[in-house]
Amino acid sequence: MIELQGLTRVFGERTAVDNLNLRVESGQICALIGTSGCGKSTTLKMINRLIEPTSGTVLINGEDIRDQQPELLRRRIGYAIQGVGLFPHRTVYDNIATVPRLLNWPAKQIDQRVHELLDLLKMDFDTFAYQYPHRLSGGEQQRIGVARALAARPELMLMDEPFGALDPLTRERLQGELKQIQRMLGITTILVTHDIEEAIRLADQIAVMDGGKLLQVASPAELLRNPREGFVSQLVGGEERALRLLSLRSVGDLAQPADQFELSDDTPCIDAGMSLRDALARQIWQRSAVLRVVDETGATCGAVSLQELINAGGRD
Amino acid sequence: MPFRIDRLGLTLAVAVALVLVLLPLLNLQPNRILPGSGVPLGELLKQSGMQLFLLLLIPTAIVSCLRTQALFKLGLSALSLLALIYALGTDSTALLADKSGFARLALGSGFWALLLLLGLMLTDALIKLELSALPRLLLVVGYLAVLFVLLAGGVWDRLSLMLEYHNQPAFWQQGARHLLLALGSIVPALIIGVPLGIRCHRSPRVRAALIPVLSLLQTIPSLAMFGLLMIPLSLLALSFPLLADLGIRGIGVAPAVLALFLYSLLPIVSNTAAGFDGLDPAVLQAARGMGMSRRQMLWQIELPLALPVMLSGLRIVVTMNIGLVAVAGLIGGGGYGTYIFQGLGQTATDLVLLGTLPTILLAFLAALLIDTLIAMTTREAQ
Repeated sequence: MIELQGLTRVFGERTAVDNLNLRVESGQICALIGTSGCGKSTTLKMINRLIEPTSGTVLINGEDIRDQQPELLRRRIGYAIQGVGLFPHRTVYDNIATVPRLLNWPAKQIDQRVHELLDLLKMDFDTFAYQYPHRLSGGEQQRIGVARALAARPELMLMDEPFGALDPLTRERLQGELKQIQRMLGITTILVTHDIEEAIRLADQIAVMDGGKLLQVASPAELLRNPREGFVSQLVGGEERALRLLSLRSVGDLAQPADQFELSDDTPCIDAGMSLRDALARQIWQRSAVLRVVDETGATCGAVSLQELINAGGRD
Repeated sequence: MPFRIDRLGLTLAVAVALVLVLLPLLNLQPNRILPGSGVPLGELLKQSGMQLFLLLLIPTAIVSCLRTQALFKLGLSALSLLALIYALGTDSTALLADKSGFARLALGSGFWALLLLLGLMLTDALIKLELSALPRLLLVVGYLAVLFVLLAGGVWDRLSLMLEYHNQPAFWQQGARHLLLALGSIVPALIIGVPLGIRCHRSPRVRAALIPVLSLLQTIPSLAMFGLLMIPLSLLALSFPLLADLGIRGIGVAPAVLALFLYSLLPIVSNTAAGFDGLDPAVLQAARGMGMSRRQMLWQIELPLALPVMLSGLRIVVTMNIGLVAVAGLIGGGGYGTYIFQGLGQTATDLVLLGTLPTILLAFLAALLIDTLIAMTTREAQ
């Protein structure tokens, strides 16, 4: 668990972060979102003391971060940034081993950990471990950046627009992988982004910032349904709001018993794990108001109709 | 397959032909000092060495005009150059046979021009071969070693240049001293210049104060600098005889090393600062964010990444200093400059050359060595 209490940072005349209070439960992903210059990156950097707050405190599992030397604190916190910042003169292996080496892990344990992490990110050890970063694609570099941040099993992970520089396809794939890994490892994560889609896709909790102030903190569904007037509403609103709401729930969640519908062999199918947004798209594309919902084995486990999608995505 | 013309090669080949016809390869001098006259090409061509050389030169020139395998061109031009050196040596015995004991054969303008042209052919072929840095270095050093063996074996012993060499028993000591002076000023300049460069990178105020001063130092001509340093150093030596005993005097090694040290600072400081300026901010932020201390960042990240730019500063300094040490010969600093100034005093051109050629060779080798280092450090980092 991490708590920011009354966090404030003033640069000269300008207040970059103004009395910010935020609490992120263990194992959750919190997205800090806002336009450039809203103070979200500054907030993030105050958590690993790259920037010292003018006032306020940060508690990690109840411990004040000022009780620890900055270098030692940072080695406990994973840090991944836009542009990755891989060390160009070091191999992938040595990049990942950075923090474990700073912590003086034995070589054997480091070796094991590098293998584990490359496995976790579905990268072949023999292909990648001894490459230099410039030989990798942008997506591969970012994956190594994430592996490097995770190397010393940090209790907290800070990510500053980690996928900002990637093409949309790669970005989406990496977002999916990140979510999976985060769920598996249960690392508390704070993610800075300016992309509302990314925040909705990844976060359990979204904190919207503007002009250094925290405007609203809510779950994605809550934020979409009840945004505060003004900036938040502009950010999440617009015509796509219904679709974003649909994207938060899976088809399996909403499926009704199949016998309530007259399903024929021609009724199009959809996997239970897909989102409601995907279901709507398929209904439109297939010109069918009903979809057969199937589980991983391909067996029918229910059905979903257009009316239910409308009910799920519409305003209260 | 139609032959295609290599324009650079064609130009070089034409130039080689013109040089052979127009400029003398050797000059015959009545004695060591009096200017001589060129040995006519016709007379040279009667000698067996020259005939062998021409036999190699003609295919070399033809191949050089065509776009063919670089290795082929490299081999031929390298052989031609060796043949030229060999020919001039062996033929000199025959040419001097009926002359007086004082008569001397000196290398003529034609030889230097051919050396340049064949050297260009060699370089061009070497570049087109696209070797990586280390094999290239080994190839060049190997070739120079062959030349060295030829000269050490006495091919040129009848030529005036080598006669001067045999008159100078201290030639190799002077070489060691030359290098010592050049490097002896660079090591302290590195020890002081690198930290100063890092300071410049971190503080614009330090940079604004320091760089103009160092630039100003660079503009002082070397002789003037030696002169300026003589006064305070002489005073020091007079007031503290102990220092004088240690060699700190108005003339000699002390002002030379001090001057070279001052000249070295600007390239080292500014290239260090530039190397650090060019580091990727994301890399530094990542390093700090992962918990590296200042010292760890400096040694593990900043210095290795800035190294190629810093080395190119070092390259400037090393080549510059090897050249400037020659000037230090004038104030009794020693090194190959001694021969240059003695030669000038005696109007003995070949003694001047005996000082000049090794100086050029040293600078060339040092530059090549550092280039190899730069290539090796950048390939890794890229």
